[in-house]
Amino acid sequence: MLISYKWLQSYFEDKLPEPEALSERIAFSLAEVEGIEKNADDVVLDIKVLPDRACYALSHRGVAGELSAILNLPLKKVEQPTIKVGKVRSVEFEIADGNLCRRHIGRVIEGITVGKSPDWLRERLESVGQRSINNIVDATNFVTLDMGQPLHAFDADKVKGKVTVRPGRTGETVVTLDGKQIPVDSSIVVIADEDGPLDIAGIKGGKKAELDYNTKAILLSVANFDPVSIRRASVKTGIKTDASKRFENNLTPERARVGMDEITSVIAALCPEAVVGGETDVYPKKAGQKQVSFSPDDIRRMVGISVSDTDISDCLGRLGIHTEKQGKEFVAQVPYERTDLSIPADIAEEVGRIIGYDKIPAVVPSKGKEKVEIPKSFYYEWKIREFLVSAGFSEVMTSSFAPLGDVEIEKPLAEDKRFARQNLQSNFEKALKLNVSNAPLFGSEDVRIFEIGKVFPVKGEHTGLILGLKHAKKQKRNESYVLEGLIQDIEKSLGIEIETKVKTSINYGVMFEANLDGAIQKLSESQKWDISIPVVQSKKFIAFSLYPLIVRDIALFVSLDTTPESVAKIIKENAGDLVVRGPELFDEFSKDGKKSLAFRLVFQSFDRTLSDEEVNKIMEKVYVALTIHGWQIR
Amino acid sequence: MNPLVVSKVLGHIHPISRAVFDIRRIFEDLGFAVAVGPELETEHYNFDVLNFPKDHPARDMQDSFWLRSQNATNADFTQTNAEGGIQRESASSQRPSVRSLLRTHTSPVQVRYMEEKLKAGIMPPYKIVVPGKAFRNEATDATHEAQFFHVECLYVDKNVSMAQLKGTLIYFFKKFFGEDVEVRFRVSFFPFTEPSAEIDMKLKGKWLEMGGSGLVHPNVLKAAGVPEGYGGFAFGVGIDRLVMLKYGIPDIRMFYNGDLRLVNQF
Repeated sequence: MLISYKWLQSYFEDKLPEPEALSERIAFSLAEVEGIEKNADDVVLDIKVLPDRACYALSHRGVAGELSAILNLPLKKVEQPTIKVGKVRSVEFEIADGNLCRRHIGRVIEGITVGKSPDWLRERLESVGQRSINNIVDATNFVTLDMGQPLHAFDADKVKGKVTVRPGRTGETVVTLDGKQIPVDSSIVVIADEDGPLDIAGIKGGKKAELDYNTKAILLSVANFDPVSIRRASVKTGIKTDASKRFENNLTPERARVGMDEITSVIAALCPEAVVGGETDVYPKKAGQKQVSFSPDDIRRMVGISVSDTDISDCLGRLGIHTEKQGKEFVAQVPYERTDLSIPADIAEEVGRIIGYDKIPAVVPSKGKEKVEIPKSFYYEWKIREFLVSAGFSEVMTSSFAPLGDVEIEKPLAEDKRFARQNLQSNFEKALKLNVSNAPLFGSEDVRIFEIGKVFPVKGEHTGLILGLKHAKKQKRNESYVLEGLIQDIEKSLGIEIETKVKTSINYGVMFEANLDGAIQKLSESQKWDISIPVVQSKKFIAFSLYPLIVRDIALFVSLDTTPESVAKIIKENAGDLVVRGPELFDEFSKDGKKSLAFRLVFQSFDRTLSDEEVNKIMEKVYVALTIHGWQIR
Repeated sequence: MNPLVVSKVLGHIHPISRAVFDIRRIFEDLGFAVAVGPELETEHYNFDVLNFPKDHPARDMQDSFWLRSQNATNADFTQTNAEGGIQRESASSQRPSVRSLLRTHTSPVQVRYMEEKLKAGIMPPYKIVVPGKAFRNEATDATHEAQFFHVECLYVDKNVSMAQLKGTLIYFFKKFFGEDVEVRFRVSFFPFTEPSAEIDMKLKGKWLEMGGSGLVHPNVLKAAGVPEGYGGFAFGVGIDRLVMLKYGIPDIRMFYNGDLRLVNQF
């Protein structure tokens, strides 16, 4: 919620800390401050009040009350508005279901003039980014932003007969203030007159009794609704408003009283000639005053701070929570608006944050004597990782989503992510292909990867293992044969038999997928952690290019006494900055008094796709340099 | 080992797995065991027992990956009753929810673990860390992925405090990132903790948001069947974030496309 610094200041005699410092205090003890913006001679704070505190802190007065507690600054005394009541028409009010609408206060004011708002009112609204509409609507918005209670004013002349808060009826529609036709039904509460719904209760005003510049009499409606039904109606109608958000957070019906008093006095001041009618308060079940009993020892134990009983009551007192000692226990009288407080742990949070979370010391719990157990699946999955890494296989992870499968997701992120993967293979295949195409970057055309992860067949889930292998071209050994041997080795070393195995050959190599669950289940519990993995290679990630690479091999004859290093040096000097790997010697032999050397270079750019021609030109330069040395390119 | 596959070069462990490996070791020193649970979770364990109100927005379709195939039984939980009025539901007065989803955190393992222990007649203390994959239905970018790894930590005992929570976090982050880190709490709100705190960590002079924490809400312990007299702390941190910060990896999506250009660096 946007909160004006100047508006906040109006609640205090003392000067508040500067906006930056104030935000810091708010961030630690109340809620995240998502923005601080200068606005003419004011500063606007965007405070992200979380759902638990939205019942009381979603207003300037709510935040001021918090600041008073956090900073230990007294609030200015606010004068209770006095309301002079005169004679107006009488309107009947009714609540059909006291569980849906917990309170409804109505009042008619006659002889008003709808017009421009005075400067002070316009400025207040504009300071938090709201547009001024007319004096009456502005007054309702102002009171809500000031004290948190949503309020509504109908044109009283457009309201016919008794006003009832009731569930909507199938077939009824509400035309909202912004002109949308919203069909209602029994799951959506409406405020209705004899002819039908006037608005969607607690969510959005209707056109039927909208104020206009001819409005002479208004009907003020200040209500309180069941948070659950408001939320559901808001989801159902697709309308989310400031008011619906407030009601969803369980405002106390007690606040309706304060809201009505304040809106009445603001309007009476704006329209001095108006006649204010008496109010009708339909309040089927008065909210009870909540009490929370707690032991100060429990509070100290939970927060982990040594704090005296007096300090605890003092912290709570600053929040308007009065405590009384009853034997060893304290009884806290919870203010009506604090619908968030009901158990001792809630009290512990209040004490902790007012004392300051920064005052909580750091204590490492003792290790305990119990043996630290290791889940079987976790242990053996790591055993397999350890084994595979030692066999030169690297671990990859791929997406758990797939375009096809057995377990369909209700609202998928994308068409190709409609299912939870039924196997590892479909996504792993892409990874194998990717890595085969990048193999020159790794200095070997052998690609060995594996993945261990959950897959989702028709029922339940199991842990899958998949191996992928692509041999370098010159290797003659059959990939399937190697993988089968490897699986056998895993089985042998763990003493298991892996049941389901699926072998797939693709252009980019061979994949072997297995279900680990059955096999691991049969193993005995692991007694101790004896797994080691290679030490980490790098402390810092090095960015890699996402553009295609080009590989060039270069072979040449040199004299027997020429070292490969001296040749590599010349190649490197002439090959330029686009070389990301190499020159790497991959072949060397001597024949007829000459030595043959073969080097590999990998070219890649960080900002574009390299063309063959571009690399050809570089290679020309390399050839020339090598030829100058008297070496013969093969 | 089969001589055909003996490699001169060792393979590489995925950096996320490496973090899991390190986390296990760090927490073992404090007496915490690893616990695991299913990725395909019920609404009951993912939300109900963690004290999420029936109407919590996190349960909305757009925030979680609910499963279609197992949704048929959900008819029991429609929003209106026969009379057409709105049926009010509170988390506690419910039959277990039967909808399934890809878990949105590894926190459900908290209650699964406690239930299992109590069933076996084992009373607290319970000390576990739960690393594992979790899912949230959100648009992906460099710092958000619909799938990620989460680690949940739970300690249940008599006299568990926010001070121990802080101490454990500092111990963990120092072991993971190095001695030069600081931890601070900011007040926050989570349905399954009270008091709740946002965890900030200072790394190389910069404060970073690391995750949520707090004392286990009494309703969670009650849902698990833990008798009165016990309390606990819990925290949850994204492992992806830990790894990204530790090694300076700029994009979370790199973890899940099977790319050795990432994995081979570690």
